[in-house]
Amino acid sequence: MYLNIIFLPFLGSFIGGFFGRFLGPNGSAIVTTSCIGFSCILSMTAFYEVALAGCPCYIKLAPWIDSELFNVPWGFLFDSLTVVMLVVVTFISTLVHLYSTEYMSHDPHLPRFMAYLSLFTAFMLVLVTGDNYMQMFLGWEGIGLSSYLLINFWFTRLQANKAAIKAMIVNRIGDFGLALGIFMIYIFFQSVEYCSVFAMVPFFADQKVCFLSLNCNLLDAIGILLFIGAVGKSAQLGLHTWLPDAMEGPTPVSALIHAATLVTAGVFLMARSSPLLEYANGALSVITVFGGMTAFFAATTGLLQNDLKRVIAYSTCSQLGYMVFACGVSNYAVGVFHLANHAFFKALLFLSAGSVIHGVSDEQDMRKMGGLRRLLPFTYAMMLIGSLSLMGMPFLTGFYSKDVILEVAYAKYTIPGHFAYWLGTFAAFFTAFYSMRLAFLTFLSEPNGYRPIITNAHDSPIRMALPLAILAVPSIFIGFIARDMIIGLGSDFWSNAIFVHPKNLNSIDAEFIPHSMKLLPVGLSILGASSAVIFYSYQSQALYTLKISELGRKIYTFLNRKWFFDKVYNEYITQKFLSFGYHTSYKTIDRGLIEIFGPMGFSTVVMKKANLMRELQTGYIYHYAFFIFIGTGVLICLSLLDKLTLSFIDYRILCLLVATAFASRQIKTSL
Amino acid sequence: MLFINLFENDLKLFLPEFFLVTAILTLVLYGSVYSVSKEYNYPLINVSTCWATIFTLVNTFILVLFTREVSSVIFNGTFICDLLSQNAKLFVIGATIVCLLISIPYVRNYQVNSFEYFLLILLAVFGLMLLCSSFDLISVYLAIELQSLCLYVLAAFNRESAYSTEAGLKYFILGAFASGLLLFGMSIIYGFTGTTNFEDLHILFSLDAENHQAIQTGIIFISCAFLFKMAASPFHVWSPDVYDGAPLNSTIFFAVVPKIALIVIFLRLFVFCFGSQPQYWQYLASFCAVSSVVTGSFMALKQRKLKRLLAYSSIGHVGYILIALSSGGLEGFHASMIYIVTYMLMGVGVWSVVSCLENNISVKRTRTLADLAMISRTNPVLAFSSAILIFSMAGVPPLAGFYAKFCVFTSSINASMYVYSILIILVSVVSTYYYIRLIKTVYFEKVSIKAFYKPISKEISLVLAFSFFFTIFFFINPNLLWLVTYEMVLCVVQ
Repeated sequence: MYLNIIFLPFLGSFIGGFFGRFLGPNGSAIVTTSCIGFSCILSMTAFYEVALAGCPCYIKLAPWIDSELFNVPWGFLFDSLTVVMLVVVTFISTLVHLYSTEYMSHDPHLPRFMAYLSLFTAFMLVLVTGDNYMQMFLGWEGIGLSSYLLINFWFTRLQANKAAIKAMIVNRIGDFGLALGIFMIYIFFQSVEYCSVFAMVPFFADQKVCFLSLNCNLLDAIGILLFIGAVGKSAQLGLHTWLPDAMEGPTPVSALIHAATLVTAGVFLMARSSPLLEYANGALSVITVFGGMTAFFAATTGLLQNDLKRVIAYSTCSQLGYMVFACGVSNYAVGVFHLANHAFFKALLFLSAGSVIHGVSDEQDMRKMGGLRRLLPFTYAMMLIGSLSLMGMPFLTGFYSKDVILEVAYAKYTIPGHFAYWLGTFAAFFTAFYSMRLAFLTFLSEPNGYRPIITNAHDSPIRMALPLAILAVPSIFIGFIARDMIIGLGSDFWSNAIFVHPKNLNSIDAEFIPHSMKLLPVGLSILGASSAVIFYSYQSQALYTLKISELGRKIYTFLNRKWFFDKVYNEYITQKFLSFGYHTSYKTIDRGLIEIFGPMGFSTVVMKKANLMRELQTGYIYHYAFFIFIGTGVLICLSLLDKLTLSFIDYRILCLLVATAFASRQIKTSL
Repeated sequence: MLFINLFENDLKLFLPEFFLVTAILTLVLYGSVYSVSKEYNYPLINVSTCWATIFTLVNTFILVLFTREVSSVIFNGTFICDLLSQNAKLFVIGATIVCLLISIPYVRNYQVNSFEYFLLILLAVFGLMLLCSSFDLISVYLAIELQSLCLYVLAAFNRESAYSTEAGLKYFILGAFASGLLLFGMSIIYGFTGTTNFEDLHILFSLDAENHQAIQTGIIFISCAFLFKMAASPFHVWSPDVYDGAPLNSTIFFAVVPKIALIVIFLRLFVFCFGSQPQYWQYLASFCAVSSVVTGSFMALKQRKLKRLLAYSSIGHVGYILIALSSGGLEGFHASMIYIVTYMLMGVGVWSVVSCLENNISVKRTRTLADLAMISRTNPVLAFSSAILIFSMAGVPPLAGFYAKFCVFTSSINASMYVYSILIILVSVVSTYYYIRLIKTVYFEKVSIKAFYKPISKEISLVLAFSFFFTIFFFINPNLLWLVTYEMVLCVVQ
């Protein structure tokens, strides 16, 4: 049963991908969706067995890499953390599969699309179930690959190509960090298996290592390298640029990959490595600071985006920041809880956005929508539920995890903790603001779209509506239901899956922080939401004046252009690399130095020398005898050179002689 | 001398050789009586003798296979029966069987009608088997002479061809020269130590005798002779001419079979006897190794004839074997053994491709590179397998040749022979060029004149398939070869 969870998606992907042309669009849709569906049912059973009944499952399947000291088996580890991820991934994946069958029904390549989706799910499952870093890395790269394929699904679109390549390359930086981290783990722990590594961590607590000629703590270095991987995959500040661009992919892809599952891989990695990170206080501080900055940055950027999906993408980015700094303040359980909650309401938001886009003939610019609440009432309701949950309105799902994150960050009583708290709190304000702005521009304001689009707008058919309706339920209730189980004080839900060092444990402190600090995030959220409503309903003229004023324009441009991250990257890094790649490494070294000395020069010289040497083979027997005679003589002479004489013959001089032998003809001819 | 020992043990352990000699004599009788018998109308018995030879060799193979003796010195210290000699004999006999299989079509087409040809091959095998188990300088010399004399005749066997007779003559004269060097070296050693027995030499040298210049000179002369027989540069000069001039079946035999016996005796003499004074021979082997690889790579660039090209290629391969030997450790000897066996197994494949090309009745001339050009069209399977074999010769992973080269370079680098290793690796780049040029000719060359080749004979196809699959799948589990060669070199390393 456990293995089927992983292999069913692979099977679905294989059949749908390679036999799609025989099965047809409907056939492959049925095959892939049912495979994922079964996988989802099995995951829920696994959740019951592992998390609720408390019996983790550990399967050693087969040896994978078996090379003397380096052993990596195919091992599958099902503990609480894994099964939470399993349920989230397969549940949302099933719904997205179902949704895609309708959303993509007009695409001629539906089988391919379904196969990619299944492939993605399968690799995600490999990532979360692996019992060692290698297998995790396999899944990590696998989801990167399928993300590339899915973003680039409409491969005739230039923007899609660019976005896909960008996603791939930016992720490569993160993957490089992660790979370095794994290498370092292997070098010091001689193993990449979680159980061996985590058991050995306390012994390395004070180990120093010289990394890039910096003398630092080993665990800090590993933690930060792993975090760089997470930065890439989870779109944290610095490597976040690919995520908004990835919205070029079809909307179900955005919902599944770039909101609910793939991007949470980094958070999962942090939670999975908790026994290691707990001893790396430096790394934890870095993680906290980065998470807080990401949350704030993405929220402000999302404020003034005009593309419907981009707003949600930035909101994803921002929420990932929350999860990451939750991990940074050692509350992995809270981070994972927020991950799960966020997956539900963000998938709901994205699928609703897809429904909107589907309804208005693939228009994505919010400024050209408006007034859709009467035309798409169902989608409007779903979107509103998602948005409210996202901004953390009390008693909706988002509220239960987001507020706890901010509380534990405050209760850390450290500088990074408070830094993250304040940034997160302000981000909550902005989140509420842009969520309402989105709802307002899309649904509530006066219609701004073209007439034919508005008149043809329609609510989604059942196969798209059903996933929305299903997702709305957990978006409202799951936080309330699961709260005590997952992050309640003293809950044994996580058993050994997540380790929190007693020194870092602060969930009790979080109960005793000042009330004002507890209420501040919710207050700011409500303030943000209501101010958005007020501004957009009654004061739109004031907003407009603000926008065209000198300062307002600057702020608008700054936020709308994403704090100029892309511009800086393109102009100061990418351009330099490109010009280095073309002018230096390609034109000067590759086509210049190597070609002249290598293929052209070397081959000519070798041929000439070969001609010379061929003349030695005369065919006369007395020459041959002479040759043998000389050879014997040389060997005897060599034997007569004793050690003293030999020490005068420096091999560097020999090398010089050989080189001269090759060059002599050239020098002569050039003279 | 204990006669009881002679009859109780020695004869038993030498049973394969006795069988072989008896069989040779029987075949002589069979041939000389039957081929001149008037009542059968002077029949042509070449093909039947060939099969009889193969049958004899198979029987000998079986006898050797079941004569497992870990180590025992027999015939009063003249020969030794140990795993090194037994396994080497197995390789020699097996390779000879394969060579005969390859040359059957050639024998039919080119009317090599004399049955003596096969008797000479058997005698050469006998000489090589003796060489493998020689344990005394005298027996080494006699065994070498026995096999060399047979090889001279084999080279000159095609009496009508000027090339063949020239090859035989050159081989004979230069071989005699080398034998002179060998004898000279041996007499020096005997003169200064008073013994010719390997065991005695081993004991004498491990006592750390003073560094005797004269003994070193003796060693140099002996090794010159061995290097001549192995065709290592600068003693290689005969080999291209002989490979080129001799009839193809003799060339295949020269190229594939004798080297392993020489490596065995090289190991036995230099590692077992003089192993405690490696400075006597190490520099010599490494010098010749570099020189061989350079010669093999550079000279082959300019060859048009296929046989000559392969001759130079084999000189290069000898260089790799020598560099492994000269590293002077167990790992290096092991690597050289792996290399020679792998080379033999790849070699039969490549030579069977040449043999396929040769079996073209319409044009009787030496094959050049241009003859390879059409086979990708006329016989894609042959083209593909030749491409794989050539890639393996060039050392492209994951084929068998890569593995062997890898072992060689690992051992030499582990022995800190950085300069030699790097030099050889660099030069082997040049050799890769002409190997890949062959493949280019097979697949991409356009020719206007279309040659027609007969279908591959069954025997060749079997050998080719064996070699091909060995080359491809060797890397999956190299353990068998690894262990067999390991137990071989363990016999000489103390």
